[in-house]
Amino acid sequence: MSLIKQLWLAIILILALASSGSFILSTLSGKQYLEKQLQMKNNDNAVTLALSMTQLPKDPVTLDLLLSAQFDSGYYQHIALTDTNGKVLSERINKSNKTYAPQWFVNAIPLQVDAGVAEIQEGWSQFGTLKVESNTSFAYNKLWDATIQIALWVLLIGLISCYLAGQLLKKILKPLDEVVDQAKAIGDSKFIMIKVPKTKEFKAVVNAMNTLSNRVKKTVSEESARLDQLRFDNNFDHVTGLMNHDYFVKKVNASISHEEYFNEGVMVITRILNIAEIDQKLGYKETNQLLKTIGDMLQHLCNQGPALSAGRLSGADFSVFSNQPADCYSLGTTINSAFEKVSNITGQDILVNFLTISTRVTKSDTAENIINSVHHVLDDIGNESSNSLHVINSGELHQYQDHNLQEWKNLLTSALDHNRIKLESYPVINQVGELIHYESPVRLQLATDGKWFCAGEFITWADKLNLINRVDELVLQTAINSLANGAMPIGLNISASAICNPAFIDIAMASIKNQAQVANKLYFEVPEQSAFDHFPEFRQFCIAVKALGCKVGIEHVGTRISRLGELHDIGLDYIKIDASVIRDINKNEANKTLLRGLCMIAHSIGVIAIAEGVQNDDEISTLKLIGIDGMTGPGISL
Amino acid sequence: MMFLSLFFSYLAAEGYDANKLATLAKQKYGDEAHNDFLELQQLITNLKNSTDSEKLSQINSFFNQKVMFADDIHVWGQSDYWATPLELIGLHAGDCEDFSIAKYVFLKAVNIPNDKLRLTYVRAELLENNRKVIKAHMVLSYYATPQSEPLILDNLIPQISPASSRRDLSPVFSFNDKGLWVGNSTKPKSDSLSNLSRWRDVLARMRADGIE
Repeated sequence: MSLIKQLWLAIILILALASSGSFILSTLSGKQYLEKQLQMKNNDNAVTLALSMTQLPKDPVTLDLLLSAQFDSGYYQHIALTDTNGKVLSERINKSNKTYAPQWFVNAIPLQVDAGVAEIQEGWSQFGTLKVESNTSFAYNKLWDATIQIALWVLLIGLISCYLAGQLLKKILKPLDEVVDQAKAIGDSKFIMIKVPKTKEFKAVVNAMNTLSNRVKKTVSEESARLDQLRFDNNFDHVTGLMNHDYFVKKVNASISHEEYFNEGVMVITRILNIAEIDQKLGYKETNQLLKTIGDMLQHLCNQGPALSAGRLSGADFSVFSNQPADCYSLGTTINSAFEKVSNITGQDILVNFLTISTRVTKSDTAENIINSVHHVLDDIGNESSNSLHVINSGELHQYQDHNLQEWKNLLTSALDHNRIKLESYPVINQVGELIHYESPVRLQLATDGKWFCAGEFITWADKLNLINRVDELVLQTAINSLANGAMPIGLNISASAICNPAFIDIAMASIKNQAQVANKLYFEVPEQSAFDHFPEFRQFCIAVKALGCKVGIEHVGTRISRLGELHDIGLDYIKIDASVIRDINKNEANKTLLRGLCMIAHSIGVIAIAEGVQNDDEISTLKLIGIDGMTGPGISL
Repeated sequence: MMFLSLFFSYLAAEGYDANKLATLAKQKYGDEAHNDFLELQQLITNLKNSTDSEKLSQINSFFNQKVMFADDIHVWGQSDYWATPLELIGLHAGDCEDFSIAKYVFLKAVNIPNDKLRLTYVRAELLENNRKVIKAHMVLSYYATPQSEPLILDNLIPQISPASSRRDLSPVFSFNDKGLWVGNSTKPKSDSLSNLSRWRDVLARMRADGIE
């Protein structure tokens, strides 16, 4: 039974006891008062009548008249005059002793009143004894009326007291509700703070809970900061803060092998030709400063678009990679001119000589191959053409690159209008091989009966044409329909523009509410970058869809591990860890440590961790040992 | 056992607590009053098996000798005050009601039934300075049987005489404590002092002195 119910019961019990107690007491005191009054009336009237009779002649007629006069003019039950031998001389009895108080009441509260007795004298000698008893029916009437009135008052006051007690109870227990909510939130691994109430006991509890909440939150963020540092040490260059060679290669390869999102990309490599000379002239410290400036510049460039990433391949070689289709020439130019600016602001009498190569990357390429061939080209060109840009066409031009914007618009609109959409199904399984959900990337058939296009092929165009929300809506509706027809749980990718669009969220909410029974089979996942770049909107989105019973996760987690702590209070269900962390996990001790820590953070905030891009059994067994909760990728099947 | 012994000691007290009365007399009024009560106690013990007329004359004489007649206004500073026997003997002064009440109480203590005793208001014709005056007076009447002529115990005339020989007195009204208390109980029904008549008032004060 809940505390509030118990308190209510206690209050009602106490009120009932108090009111029935006061009710009984007041009835009894009323009875006592009436008895006293009746007794005094009996005594006084007996004495008065006896006094009169003593003074008057004692003939039977006079005595009888006196008796009658007294009896008829007052409320009497019985008046009797007896002589000194106890013989009755005259007597009056009231035979209609009626009261409207019910008989049970009269029986329950009998009025105990004795007859008033007085002596009558005839001169010096005794004449007789007078006994007077009053009629009690009017007293019972009065007592009955008073009892009913008291009962009504007690009831009224009882009801008012109940109401007031209820209000008071609500006010007193209000902080308790908040504490309970907080406790539940901690159970859900959300570490919220609540206002400290005034009640002493609650204050202690709330302070303790707040401290606990704070401490766990702090532990989580400390842990993630430590992991971040570890990851940085392993994967990043200390001087420039850019990715180091190995990590960059791994990251590029992961992008290229991502079937859904990668269609073609661009890699730009810039070599500083006179690094040895600069080092000699400026000294170690100044050179590092220059390299750091270059690193910051490239990082700044990458931050402008989600598709770009930068790395330092060796002492003098820098690279920028775009995992989305881009113009080789313009990207190369941008980077080349950025280097030119840096070269001019060194303020020294030495200029930085560099060479930039830009090349298209296709699905059939690997990072190692491209970097190797670019190195060959760089070696060949050497110092011949300093500060210049060379564009190499390493892959064949993609056939659809030829479509112009209008053609794309027609194709996409027609596909969306005619529901030429399907969802693929790649299983995500848990430790024991059971299905968590199907990752369901979208496919659009742009031309009737033509090829099914994956997201990577059309998403850039859909974004440019403002059709992305329509795609998202259609994807969601398709998922809901198939779930309503009994499909297994589905994981959907939601774009950044969708979570930032209130209109889309409203439409999505409405569609889910229409099929409320499927809500708990819908897993929404948002890319890490989108989630953190639009954190307030992402939070809103989480609250909205979680209220309906849907699940929410973040995919491609890897570059922003340190911010995981911020997720503790949005009720996230899972994270999917980027393939770049998972790749060759069985051989990479540093990544094992990183992943172990990631899992720990995730578990401490009540989130399950899923590995993306799992390729083979070696990886699977290592991941299981590390304690990952789920896996997906080419190597995973049901 | 304890209850039983208490019960016997109560019986031995004969309706009043002689020790309490004597102690109170000593505390409030000194040795003389104390001795008077011891004497009274002795008298009561001696009278246990005597005839009614012996009891009447002894108790009557005791009070008539020990106590001087005085108006309430002189003794108590108020026109009409009903004193208890303790106060009466303690001060050795009292008026007619005080005499009658004391005699009534201690005659009951020597086992004269309540039914035979009446406190009687009488109209008394007295001679003061050779002038006839009429005064309100109270005497104690003793009825050997309900129908018989009463004997009058008065403080004005120390000798007990039959009513017929007291031509100076004419009865107005008489009463005893029958009907005052409820049923056979000797306890008053209500403890409240506010609604007591003079008679009940003095009975209650006597109870406090140890006279039941």
